[in-house]
Amino acid sequence: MHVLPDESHVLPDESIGVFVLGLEPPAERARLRAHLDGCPVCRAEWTALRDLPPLLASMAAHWTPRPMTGEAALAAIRTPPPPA
Amino acid sequence: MHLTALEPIGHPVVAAGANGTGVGALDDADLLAAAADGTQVEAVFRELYRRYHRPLFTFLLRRLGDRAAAEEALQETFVRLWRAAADYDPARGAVAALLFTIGRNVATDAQRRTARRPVGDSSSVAWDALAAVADEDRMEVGLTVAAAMSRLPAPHREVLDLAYWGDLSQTQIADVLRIPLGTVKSRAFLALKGLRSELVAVGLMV
Repeated sequence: MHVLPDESHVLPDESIGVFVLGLEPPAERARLRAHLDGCPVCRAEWTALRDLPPLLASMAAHWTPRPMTGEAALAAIRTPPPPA
Repeated sequence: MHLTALEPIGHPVVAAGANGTGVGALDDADLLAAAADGTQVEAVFRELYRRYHRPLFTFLLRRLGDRAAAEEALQETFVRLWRAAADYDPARGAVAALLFTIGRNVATDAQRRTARRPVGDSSSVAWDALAAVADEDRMEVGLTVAAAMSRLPAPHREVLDLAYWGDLSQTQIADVLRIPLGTVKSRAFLALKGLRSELVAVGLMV
């Protein structure tokens, strides 16, 4: 078994998920990116997951409600709520 | 019933956002403040609706599994947003997070009312509904991914839903789901690993 470098560990850093999805603030993102350079465990996880976002995007937000939905919401907003 | 789903962005109900009233230049929090004031109700509504109706609708459709129910929930979500506008405090979270929180509550209420299925068990129904309204040419890969998503545990799937359809940050997702940030991270990680396994199993990934 080879010796792991200082920054490495047996279990991957779970922040890889939000890193792959791009959900975290820039400073956190920079920290994990730097970590990936030196950690084979995390790098392997990232390599396995990094192709998922375009696949996820293939199903994102293609669905639209019928226009009457927005008009009905607007009409309801303009109607004062019933007295409590 | 005619169920053509794919209208171009900016169809008539939402096209008035940039009609010279300037609401298109306002950020979400300013729009909600205007909603609370009751000024320019129509322009403000159309602009907020334009920004969020698609991701919210998709999110609701996935939770409710029925197009009419999702449309009704979308309508109710915006009505509740308007009634909550006066109490909105930008320091406590983004408008997007508030909208998805309200949407999630509306969907839960709707599920309780109809008591059709337990929460989190409506995925197969949801995807049938989505398939019925989707553009077939574009959707083959998308539906395969969607079907794989539906096999993930609901708490994992929900994080991906909010990330992709809500376009929310990790902090906003934590706010909407009322879970710690660390839990968002672990669920996002497990959700992606699970999704990858599912996609390998169906041959979409190697």
